[in-house]
Amino acid sequence: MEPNQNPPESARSRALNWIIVGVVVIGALLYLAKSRRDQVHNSVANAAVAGNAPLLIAPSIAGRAAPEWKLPDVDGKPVDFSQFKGHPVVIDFWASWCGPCKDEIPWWNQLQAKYKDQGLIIIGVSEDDSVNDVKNFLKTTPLDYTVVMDQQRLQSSYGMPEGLPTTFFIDRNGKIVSRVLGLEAQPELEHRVQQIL
Amino acid sequence: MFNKSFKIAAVVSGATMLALAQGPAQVAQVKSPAVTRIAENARASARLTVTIQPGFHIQSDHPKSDFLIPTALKLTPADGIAVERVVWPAPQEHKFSFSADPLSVFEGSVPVVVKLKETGQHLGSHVLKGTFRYQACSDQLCRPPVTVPVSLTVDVVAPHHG
Repeated sequence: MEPNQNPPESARSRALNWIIVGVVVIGALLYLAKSRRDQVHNSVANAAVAGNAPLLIAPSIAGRAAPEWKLPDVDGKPVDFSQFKGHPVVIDFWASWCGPCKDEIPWWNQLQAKYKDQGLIIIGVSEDDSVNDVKNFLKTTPLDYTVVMDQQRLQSSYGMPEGLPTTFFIDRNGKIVSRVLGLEAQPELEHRVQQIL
Repeated sequence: MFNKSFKIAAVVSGATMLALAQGPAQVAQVKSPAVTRIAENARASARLTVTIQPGFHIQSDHPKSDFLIPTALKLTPADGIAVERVVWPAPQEHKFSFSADPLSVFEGSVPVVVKLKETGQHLGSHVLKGTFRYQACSDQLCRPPVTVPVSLTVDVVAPHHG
């Protein structure tokens, strides 16, 4: 066997090489993720100009199990998502400062009443910073369904809302059927509710 | 395995991509003037511009509902330079599909004037730091409120400076 022509790399040099590769790969992935997020933001902006909210059903979301969570309601009592097992569930991310969200509230009230006997559960997840803001809001605009405070706890599992309202439609098996970003007309919302009953 | 040039190029490109990956796309951005000059013991105005993406609006500095998040520009006084007040233009009254009444909003390009007063002998360049907070919506959706850093460079000059 002939001796090697080049001196062997030290372990330290090899480690440095792999660290460099890691930095490049991570940077590329983050850049691609941001580019995709910016594409979504730009598409949202373009849709806003066109007057239509885009329906976003990310292939990675539809069919997936809805993540578990436990959040306080406006009185501080814990609400556990697992208690709704077997029910069709609508999770609507909203806030008291969100005009389009407020447009949908009467429709959600109507749908909750209409499909209550079929087990429909609607949950309003507030993105307000203060529970007092929500309590004050509820004095003038009642929500006839469960309201919980997110306080950014669901962002890691359900994703940072790109905008509000963001609504998840979850079937009786706990699978996400669809996700809607932005205001949608009442007939469309009802159609999506019917899909999960 | 990798020569020196490749390693340098890889680190630079990786760092660049990491840097570019930071920060979400902003619906509204505030641009400060390069420099604002103010004489000692005098007053001056700094003119900033807030630019809002087409299709979006931000709440005015005095929205019509307590539930809405007002747009606010705050700068911390420093080095004898006080911020007397921030002057926003008259807002637009805009009726949206989701509101029964018109809202008080800003859209497009919005000029903002920061009234400054120099109260001491601090000749030279100073930087006032602060924040710009806003909450943007379109006709269909609302973005979460955002607070971004702002800075204002102020040159304090001697009175009757040419």
